[in-house]
Amino acid sequence: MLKSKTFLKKTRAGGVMKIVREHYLRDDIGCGAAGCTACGGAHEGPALEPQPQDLASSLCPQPHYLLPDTNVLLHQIDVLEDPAIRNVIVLQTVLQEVRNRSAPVYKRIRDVTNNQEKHFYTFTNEHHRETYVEQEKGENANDRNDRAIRVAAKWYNEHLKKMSTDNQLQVIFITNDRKNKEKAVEEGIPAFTCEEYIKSLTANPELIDRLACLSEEGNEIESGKIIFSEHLPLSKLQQGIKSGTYLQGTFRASRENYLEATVWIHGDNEENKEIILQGLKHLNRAIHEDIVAVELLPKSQWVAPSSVVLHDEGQNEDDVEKEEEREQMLKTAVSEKMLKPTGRVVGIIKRNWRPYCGMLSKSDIKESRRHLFTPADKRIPRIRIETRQASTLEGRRIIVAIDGWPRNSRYPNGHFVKNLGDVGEKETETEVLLLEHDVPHQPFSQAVLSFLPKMPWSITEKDMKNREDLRHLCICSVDPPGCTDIDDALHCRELENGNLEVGVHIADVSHFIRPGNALDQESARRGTTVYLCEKRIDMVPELLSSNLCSLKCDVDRLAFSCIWEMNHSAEILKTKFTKSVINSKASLTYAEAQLRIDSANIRDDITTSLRGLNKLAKILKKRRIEKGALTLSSPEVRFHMDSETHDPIDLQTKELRETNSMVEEFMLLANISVAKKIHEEFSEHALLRKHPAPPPSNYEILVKAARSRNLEIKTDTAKSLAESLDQAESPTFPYLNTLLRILATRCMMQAVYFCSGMDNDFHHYGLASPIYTHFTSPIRRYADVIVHRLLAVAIGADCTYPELTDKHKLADICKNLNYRHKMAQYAQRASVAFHTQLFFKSKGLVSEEAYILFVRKNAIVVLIPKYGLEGTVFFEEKDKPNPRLIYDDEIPSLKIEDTVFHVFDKVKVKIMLDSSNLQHQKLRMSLVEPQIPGISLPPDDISNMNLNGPEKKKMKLEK
Amino acid sequence: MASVALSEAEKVYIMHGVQEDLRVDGRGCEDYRCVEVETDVVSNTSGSARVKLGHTDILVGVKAEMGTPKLEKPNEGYLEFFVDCSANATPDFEGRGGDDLGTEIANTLYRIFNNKSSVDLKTLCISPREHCWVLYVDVLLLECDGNLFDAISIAVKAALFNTRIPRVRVLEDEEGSKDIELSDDPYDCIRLSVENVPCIVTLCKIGCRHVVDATLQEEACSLASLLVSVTSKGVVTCLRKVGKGSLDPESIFEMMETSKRVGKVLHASLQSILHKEESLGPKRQKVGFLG
Repeated sequence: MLKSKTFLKKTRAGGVMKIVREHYLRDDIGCGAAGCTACGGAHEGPALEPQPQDLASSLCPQPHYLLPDTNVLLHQIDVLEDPAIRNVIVLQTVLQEVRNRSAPVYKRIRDVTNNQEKHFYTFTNEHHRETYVEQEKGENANDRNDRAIRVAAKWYNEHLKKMSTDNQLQVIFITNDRKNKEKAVEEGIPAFTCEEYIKSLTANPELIDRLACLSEEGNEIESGKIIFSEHLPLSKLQQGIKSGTYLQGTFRASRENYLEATVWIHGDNEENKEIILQGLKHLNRAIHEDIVAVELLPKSQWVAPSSVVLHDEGQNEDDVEKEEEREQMLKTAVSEKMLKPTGRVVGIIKRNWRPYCGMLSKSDIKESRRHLFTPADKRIPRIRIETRQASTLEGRRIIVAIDGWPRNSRYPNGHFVKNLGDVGEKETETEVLLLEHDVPHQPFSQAVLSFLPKMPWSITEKDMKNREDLRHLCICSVDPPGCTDIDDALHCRELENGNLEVGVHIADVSHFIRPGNALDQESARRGTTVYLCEKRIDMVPELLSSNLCSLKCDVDRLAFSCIWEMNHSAEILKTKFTKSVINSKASLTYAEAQLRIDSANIRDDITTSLRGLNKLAKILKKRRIEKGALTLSSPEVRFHMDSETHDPIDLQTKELRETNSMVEEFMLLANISVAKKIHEEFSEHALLRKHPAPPPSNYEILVKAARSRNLEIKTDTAKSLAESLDQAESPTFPYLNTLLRILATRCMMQAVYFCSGMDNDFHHYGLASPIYTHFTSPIRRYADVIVHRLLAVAIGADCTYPELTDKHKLADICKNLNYRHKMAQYAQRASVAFHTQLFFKSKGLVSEEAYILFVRKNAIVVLIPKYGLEGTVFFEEKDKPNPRLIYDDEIPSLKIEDTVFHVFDKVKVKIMLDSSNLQHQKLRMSLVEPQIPGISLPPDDISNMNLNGPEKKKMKLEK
Repeated sequence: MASVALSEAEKVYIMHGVQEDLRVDGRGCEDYRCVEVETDVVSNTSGSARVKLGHTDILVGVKAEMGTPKLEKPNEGYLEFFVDCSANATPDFEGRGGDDLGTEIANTLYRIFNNKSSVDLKTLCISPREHCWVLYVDVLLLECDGNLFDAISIAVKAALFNTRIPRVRVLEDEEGSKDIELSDDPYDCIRLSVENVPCIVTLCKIGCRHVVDATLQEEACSLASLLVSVTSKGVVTCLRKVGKGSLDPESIFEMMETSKRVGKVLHASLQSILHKEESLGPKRQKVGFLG
């Protein structure tokens, strides 16, 4: 049956449009219940269980399905996601409303409906002949939708009754709207509010905690006075922003001081880029990352950023007076010059709330169900949640979502979402660091997995099209030990004309990941594989990463080959790119490969090939360094893991062999060759990687530090920097060169991906190459997949698709990749830091030699080469009188009492685990040598120090 | 204009019949052919109507759009007419062939609506000097079988009767900037009063008598005709003579009297049929173009 739906819409230009849509009503839409004879096979795979038994509700003892309305879905999605809640009917009306109002919730509900275990069924009531309703006179769109939901609920109940007479199956309508509920009850539909229903589930009391607490109007008014001023409505904010009375920007809370924040103003005008907000009332309930509108305060009220470190510690949340006192503390007298534009938040344009990881701070009152939650991120305010399981949650990492922040509440209200596990547990901490760094780490969905090739997989005739058979070549791979995702393999052989043929063979991932499908989208979203100390978060499913794409030895694998013809002085005579089939003859580790090259009596094909490669690599490297490529250093450590417990038992700094640099040289060569090729072919939309030259000011610290050792570092070009770094040796201090290189690394800019059509500076500073890209690791980097596709199109081995040649889409991909790479790096570092902590926890107290890397006003940053560990030694402590500190910015040096510290000075420090803050455990370092009375620890005392609690430590220090 | 070729003998036959108050199809001189009216035939317009008069077939759509009032009338909306002569009607209209006729009809429509009483244009104003409703009246000629003007004017009136304009409110805040808010309820709309919308009665001078609602054949026999736009109360709002022949003042007076008389009846029956149709409500089975 055909109906036409007519509705009016306001256009952006302010006009009114009448839109007519055809709307089809059908009578073959199934109800979704398994075993329903009336709807028969009208739908595939019934979603609802025929006899839902698991939910024991005291309100509704008989089996039933749930039918929530829009607001329940929007606000209580956390509860609905719980595995205990099953057999839910999601109406199309509801789904559409959710979609219009919140995209993230919509995505979550789609994920839930796709999960077969949950038995969620989407009923297309709008297209069902008996449940479609038309908007009536005097009824607004909301009323109509409510009615449509009720009609559908009623239809379901009648429909299920028809199914069989003895069937007591019911559909329960869940709504938090009082009027709607009353109407439903009038119409004979069993209806409850979400809270009533969840509370009646006697078997699952933990669900109550996950209920979002919605402040019902009237409910909260009596509880205390209003602290915050009202947020202006969006329409007013927009007008204000247009007229310039308000400014729009991203709210960034301060890590150090919970009463202070800055707002980064969007827009181009240089002045007023950053606005300071100070004091609770001016922050006005904005939370880190929100998009807010701020109003500038008159100049007389401007403040300077305070240098005070303040952490929100008050347990009694309603001490507003005390807050004001604290705010006064911030306003210390400062010179006029220091004053910065200051403002206050007048409204929120967009909330950017996400679920936060953190810990529960249990309320002092024993029976209390309201507790404060302290997020791991210090920029997020504490959140008040209501839970009955406070004692079980204590000492655990939990996730909490914010529901709202009423005007009369000191803290935002939230609800408990998930228990991650005990603090300090490896799995828990790993989960936390993945969540906090926004690393997508869920198992791959069915949709993604469905695009994997079917096993057993073999190379077919079709695959061989446009592909060269290189199986006869003696190809091998060289990787770190334990590597299962081998994306590159090499070969080298002498040609009849005396030249050498060198081939780099890269796993042909783009053969398996076809553009646009779910697998491609998921890998594009993940962007990169994340390597943590004991875990790998794959970018592509394991079948591909560790099997089909991994260039393992003695199996046929698809590859993308880059083959050069070179003479013996490593000059490229010819370059060829081709898709190929290879059969690797050996998977070697760096050590094994090195051993083969070094042992003179091995003369097989593989070894000859390796020797040839090694010889060429040395020439290539030399040439690269002549051009000004930098050899930088960063202390890298590897953990030796206990094979059973996966606890780190020893640390080891990474060893570098000739073979490491051999592989690296050829990868660089391949990347550069490919970059040239794709840029030649697609000058507007090649995906490249650049490394901008750092501004000269970045080097200041390096130059100064070197000068203090009577060395000169030239930084005008990369080449002079490389040369002066090479010459900066001290016969008495062999580690100095490494230290300088570590410092130089810190001066560098971040390398980034970009689309060639959107930029004109392609230079890669660190590698001294005019053009560069990533081609050699498609298993673990999505950028390489795109580069593979571009190259495949360039050589005519694959077809193109529209998105590939859209430079804006490509720029978006680059943006995401850069973000994911940065986050992956942070996550990696956090993982190393956590394992270092675990290591020192088991090791107890150690005192080690260290070198000073930086000198700060009240601290020194030291590096312990043995562990590649960096830490800060503070000279000011809370409970102790401050020592006399004289800081000289020029040298730079720090004089404490009578001892002067310079950069690169050798000191001895003691490392210990500071667990005073359970959530932010960290390694603490204290000075042992040189001895400064009252500051350093006496070295002989170390053995009997007890570090289990901060209390005891303090006592020791006071002695 | 569409025309038929008639022989002298046929013309004489028609003229003699008219003289005896008996026309070829059996009507008297003041009789209209059967008129079919249906409204709300095009769903994506604000109002529409289709009128069939003999084989003359007219479709009118009214589209309400927001615009700015004219400078000289800051608190009134306005109407725009456009007539499209479809080549379906006659091959003569192909290309730009129908343009002249279209412009002529549109101009006539402008003239009959160019007075304060026809439509209350003030109801079309949203906010003076800033926003008003503009009603675009689009006329489509589907088939011509004489008496185009009358059929078009009936269709326009029916379409205006059917027009529903969404109700909007102007929200004004302290700063003086205005925002237009659209009502959530699609049934919440303004209707125009068509009480005083005139209809055209065309009188064709055939011999020494005049006929209303001339067919194509009768028009071929006539040298001059008079368009009189009459309201339901019998007030003449506009008068226009077409054709190359001349009319003597006395017969013009006679023709006006006839048009008033015929017009009143026409209005009354149109009004009653429109109300009757509306009373059927939205459940009414639509005939549209398949009927």
